[in-house]
Amino acid sequence: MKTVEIFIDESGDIRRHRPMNITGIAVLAPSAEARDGFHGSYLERLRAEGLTSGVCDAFAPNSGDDPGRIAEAVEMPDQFVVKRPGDGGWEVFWDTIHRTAWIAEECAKANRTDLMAFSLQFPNSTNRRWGTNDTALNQLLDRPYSECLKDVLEMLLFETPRIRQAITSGGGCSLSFDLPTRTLGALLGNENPDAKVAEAWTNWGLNARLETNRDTGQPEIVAGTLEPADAIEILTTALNRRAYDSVKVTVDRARCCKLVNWSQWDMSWVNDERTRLKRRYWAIANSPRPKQIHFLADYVSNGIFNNNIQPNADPYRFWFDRGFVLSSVDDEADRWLSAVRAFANGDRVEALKVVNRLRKKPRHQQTKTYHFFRRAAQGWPEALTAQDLKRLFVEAE
Amino acid sequence: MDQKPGAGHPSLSTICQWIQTAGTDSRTTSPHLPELLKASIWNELTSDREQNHALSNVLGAFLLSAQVGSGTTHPGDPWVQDYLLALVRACGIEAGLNQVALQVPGRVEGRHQVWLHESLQSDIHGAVLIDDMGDIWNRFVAGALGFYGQNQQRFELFGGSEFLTSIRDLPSRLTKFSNSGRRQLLAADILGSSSGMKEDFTLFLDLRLFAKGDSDEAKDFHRSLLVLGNHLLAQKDRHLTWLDKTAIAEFRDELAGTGGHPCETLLPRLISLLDPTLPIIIFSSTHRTELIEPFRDYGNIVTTFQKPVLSGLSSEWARTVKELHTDFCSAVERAAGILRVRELLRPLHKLLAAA
Repeated sequence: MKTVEIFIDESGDIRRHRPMNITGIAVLAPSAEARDGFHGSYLERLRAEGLTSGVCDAFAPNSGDDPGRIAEAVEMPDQFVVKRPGDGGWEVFWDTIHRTAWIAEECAKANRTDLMAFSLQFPNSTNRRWGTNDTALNQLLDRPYSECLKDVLEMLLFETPRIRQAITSGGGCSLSFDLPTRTLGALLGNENPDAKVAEAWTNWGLNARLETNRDTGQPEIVAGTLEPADAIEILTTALNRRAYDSVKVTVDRARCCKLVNWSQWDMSWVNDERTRLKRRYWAIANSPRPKQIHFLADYVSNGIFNNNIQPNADPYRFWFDRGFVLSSVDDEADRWLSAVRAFANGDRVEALKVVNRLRKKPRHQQTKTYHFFRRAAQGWPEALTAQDLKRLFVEAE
Repeated sequence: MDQKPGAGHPSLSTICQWIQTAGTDSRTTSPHLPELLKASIWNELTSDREQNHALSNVLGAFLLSAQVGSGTTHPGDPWVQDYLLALVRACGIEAGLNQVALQVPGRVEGRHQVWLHESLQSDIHGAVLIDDMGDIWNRFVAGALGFYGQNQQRFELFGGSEFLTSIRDLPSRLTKFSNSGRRQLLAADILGSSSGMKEDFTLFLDLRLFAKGDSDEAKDFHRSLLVLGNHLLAQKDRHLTWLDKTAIAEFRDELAGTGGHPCETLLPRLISLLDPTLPIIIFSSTHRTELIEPFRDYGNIVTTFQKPVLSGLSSEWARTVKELHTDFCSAVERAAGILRVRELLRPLHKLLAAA
């Protein structure tokens, strides 16, 4: 059975009022054996070259043991990739990431497996319905991100030919989905902090706490916005958006994982051994351990966001050619998605009306988003019924 | 007309000559004479359907050309249409060459009166006229659309002086297109020659393409269309948009020669099936239900406009012109809507496998 694994990460901060990115890597394998072979050989190569990034399932198994004991047992490598380098180390850092990417590509090839990359830029101001007018709580609800995740998954599952073919073919497909956990903080104004924490819990079920912002010294309310079990809801929502697409998948894994880099484990400034261990314990206590490839998704996400990775440079080009680099900020990818969804769900006329509005926008037909979705819409005219066409004719008069 | 007893009947040319110059003849004419002419000539001309159609086709073209273009006097000997128009006037029919003022603001350019607003003219892109009398109707169609002068390249007359040869080859050109893998007809696919127009044009299509429907040419042409129809039915990946299962079965029977619609309606339906987003305006004088009804399910065939018939000319001419103008604009608006959809769908077509 074919397997599809999706590893997603995000870049940007909703508080900085600039576009954010959701980027990821998918591993497409012809069988579970090929998939496992890829992960095994990738980790082996990284270990051999001192290029592992952080705690993954091979270092600290998802055994259910007390994470404190696991943390004690983890054998930290002497050499590893730091999460973010210090001053002046960026060039070396990105060279290292490119090396890591090439290793991933080579291991994939060796295991008859293909890697795919995808990235969607979206505005952090995206107006999503059903939020709250409370600025801080609205921020913690993280609606633009969580909604956009569903959009990205929908595009990936249904609009990239390779994955679409895999999940709708008769032979069935094993689908796995890994997200990063997410914790956000929102600055508080003159509001009563305790009342705000109580409101976060009472009205929205957010297990929030008060902290002091390290940069400003101001109080902020902090909460986890994506918890380990939230992934299945996101995946299910995305799959349900295409009820008529005959998806034949077995979901083998859907989870949010905390990505803890080795460099984040550097607690040398903490003198007390027990405290240090406790912090390590805290870092992975409530999260399943990720796959090592998930760290690469994190780097690629950051690299695309900050223009340190060009999607047309090898090996990323191979990956993005199979996936996409799209934008809802300038290129209306979200509206295109609503059009292809409408078409898939039978409202063909509405879909074409959206496309008609989009194509009239200046320079839209030169965008990557247009070309990506035009491919998805290829063959629409042949699917139109006489009624569809007559309605279109009348509405176009 | 001064005819002395025993001098014999005037020849037709004499009558026509007199009718042509009657306006300047100072001699007294009996008021009963126009009535007599009308009763004996006009009513006779309009009483028979075929005759009515043939004469309407000629006379309507001249009269409507004057409405959109230059209809004033010309130097030299009179043209045939001058005699016909004089006959109309002599029969007391109101129709004439004077342009009826229409509510199309700013569209009178010199002696031309374009029948469309500029925006609609722009939306319609171009036009191809298929009509066995195209050489006399082209002035009206091109003039009404405003496709003259700088815009004349936006109008193409099918066949020109070689109409019969061109129409005979049309089925094979359509067959070639059906095998090409392309989804939208180019003007050149229909014309059989290169054209500045690409896919964005409206087809004005007359139903009667042969002077005699039972001529050998007409029969051969119909047989070629039947072959084309069967070819379309046999194409596996061709979606015949306008036909549901029942209609396909009926169409199959029609192509096999059992039942079906009048043969004049087959060409528009085949083009409509070949290219469901090409606007086809039926450009005919027929009001017969059996010739219009077959197009009901074909969304890109527009039957709003009809060429005028002689019997209609006896009513108030200005009102007739205004009604024709309304119908013409309505037909073109529908065509423009279809063209907008055509443009929208063009980049989304999946290429058929070329045969």
